[in-house]
Amino acid sequence: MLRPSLVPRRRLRTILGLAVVLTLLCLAAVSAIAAGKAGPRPLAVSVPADPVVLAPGKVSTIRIRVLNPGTQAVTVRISGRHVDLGDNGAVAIGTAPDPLWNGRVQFPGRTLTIPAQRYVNVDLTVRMPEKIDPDLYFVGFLVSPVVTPNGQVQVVNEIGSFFTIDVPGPRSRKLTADLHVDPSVFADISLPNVVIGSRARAILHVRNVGTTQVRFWGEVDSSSSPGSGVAQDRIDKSLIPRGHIRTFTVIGKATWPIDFVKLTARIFYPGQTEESTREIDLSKRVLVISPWVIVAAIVLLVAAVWYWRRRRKRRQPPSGKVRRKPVPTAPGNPAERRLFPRRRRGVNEPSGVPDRVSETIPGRR
Amino acid sequence: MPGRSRRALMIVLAIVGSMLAFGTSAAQAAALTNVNWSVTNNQVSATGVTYSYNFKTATTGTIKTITFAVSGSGLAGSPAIVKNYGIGAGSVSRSGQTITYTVTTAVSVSTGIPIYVELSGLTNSSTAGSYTTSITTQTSAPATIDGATASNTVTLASNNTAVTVTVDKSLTFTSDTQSYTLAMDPGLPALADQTQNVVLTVLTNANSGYTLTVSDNTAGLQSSSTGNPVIADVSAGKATSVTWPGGDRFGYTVTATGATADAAFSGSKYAGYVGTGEQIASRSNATGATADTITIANRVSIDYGAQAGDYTDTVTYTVTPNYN
Repeated sequence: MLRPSLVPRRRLRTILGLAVVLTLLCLAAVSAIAAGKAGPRPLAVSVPADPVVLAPGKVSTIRIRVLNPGTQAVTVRISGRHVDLGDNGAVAIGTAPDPLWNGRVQFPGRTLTIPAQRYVNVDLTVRMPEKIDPDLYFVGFLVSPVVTPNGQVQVVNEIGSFFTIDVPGPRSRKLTADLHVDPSVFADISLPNVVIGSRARAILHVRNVGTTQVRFWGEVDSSSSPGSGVAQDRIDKSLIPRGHIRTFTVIGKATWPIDFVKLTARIFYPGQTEESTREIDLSKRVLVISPWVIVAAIVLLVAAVWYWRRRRKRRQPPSGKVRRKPVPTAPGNPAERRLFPRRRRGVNEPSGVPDRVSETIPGRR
Repeated sequence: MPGRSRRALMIVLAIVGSMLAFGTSAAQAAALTNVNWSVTNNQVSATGVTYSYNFKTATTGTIKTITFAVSGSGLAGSPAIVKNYGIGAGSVSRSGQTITYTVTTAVSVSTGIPIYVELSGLTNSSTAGSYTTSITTQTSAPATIDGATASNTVTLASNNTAVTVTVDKSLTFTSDTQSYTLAMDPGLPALADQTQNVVLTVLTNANSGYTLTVSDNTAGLQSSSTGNPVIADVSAGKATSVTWPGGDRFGYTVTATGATADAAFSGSKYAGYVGTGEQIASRSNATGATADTITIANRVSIDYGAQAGDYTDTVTYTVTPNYN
């Protein structure tokens, strides 16, 4: 038989036990939810901003950095990848290592775990081939988080990147360029070198037609006449891979409502060595007409037509009143009077009766 | 007599006028304006130093050469042209304290044109002290157009600390979702058609921006049940993106802030993932401090035609900084 004082104690123990079990269950549920959808996974990769100069046959280390700005540790794998450079700076990372650098760049074979808010410097050893032409070379790699399967659809956020190696020496560089003005189009008719607006807009294409990568720079000078001064817009140093293109939008502002705007694009790039440069000059002269000028011209035209019609009306007396007025009898015989009726419809002598009245004729014409 | 004196006066005036005119042309070499000289390293004897010169022309003229005469002694190195603006292409050489930039094809340069010349590969003097550069523009004759105009003072010292700050090209890529599960049931429309957003953020200082591509497993959303049934992709890729057709389908659409989403997704059109990967968003300049947000809405719809089971897939988002 239980003592009465022990009964509430037992109940208390049972309640406490239940509470502990419930708490554990809640914690398990929360952790299960967390496992189902873990928090955000940030990842960052840094590479040298400028090309690293490496002569043929040299061995050097190039440092890249993998950072974890997140609040949980991230495990990553770094692997070499082929890098495809496209037009206008576009880069695509391939699915396989670049044959040129395969075995010449040592990527870490194991996975790297980066604690939260930390980074890992990775020194990649690069062994340059004994024979390699002076040029810029791109070594691509992929930093991929190691994913543990959880949930039906896994989401992987990986970063593809590359660093640039400059093999020094003289090289053959060749660029071409063209400048196209965007003409204004009215009713499918484009007027060459005429723009309706306040500015002339042109597209500048720079192409690498040589056998090496080229880093170029340039400027676009715009001037207007009438007007004064030359605006100089600078194009910062940019890379164009072999067989690719860079596109720029060039704008020249008109000073007056009707103005000739001259756009001059100047592209500079090194010659065989960097002691000298080469230049491509392109110019376009465009007539820029403000839309307000056209509006004003239309308004003036309408006003002129209105004024002309008004003047014309004033010269003709109102026909209704004239009809009611008796026709002044001219001297002489009536046959003579009707001889040249049109002539008599002069400025000051309007005819009272219309010469001909149009009537609808029923039936087929 | 009055006619004679008038003629004499005219002759005198003509002589004085021509003298004035010739006098003006002889003294037309004016001072360049806004002259500035900077160096990337002001340690004495430092090698591989880049000298940058900025100035504006004062007189219209056909510039063939620009000479940069550095004061003092000890300047060395073989200069190379890093950049030139406002002046035509040319070549550079150094002789003693004078660096000469020779324009290949000289053309007339108007008054007030800003000229910038950046030269690398120079070696500073080994003597500490204050230095200036006198800049002169000349025709091919040679006749001086503008200058010589002295620049600001640059101090070369041995007891200073050269500070070099290197900022790497960096890119941060975040996914708010590492995996997701959609509990679907064809019996209720709300459970038969579900969307899971994956929000990606990108930050980069790459001048030409970045490119974002996406790919998935070759088999797509597939079950390991008997017969390995799949929930078919809504389209064979972004080129054939469609408005959501319903039925048993798996696809995605993209919206972006900061970045430019591919036009295939305009008008809430959906595309199926492809194993080889496709570009879905891009940006052509650096993001700055504000991250770009790219939202991928993953949509799955089923009907009773979909076989019961667990369907799995792995979607990989790859972001690559562009070159510049």
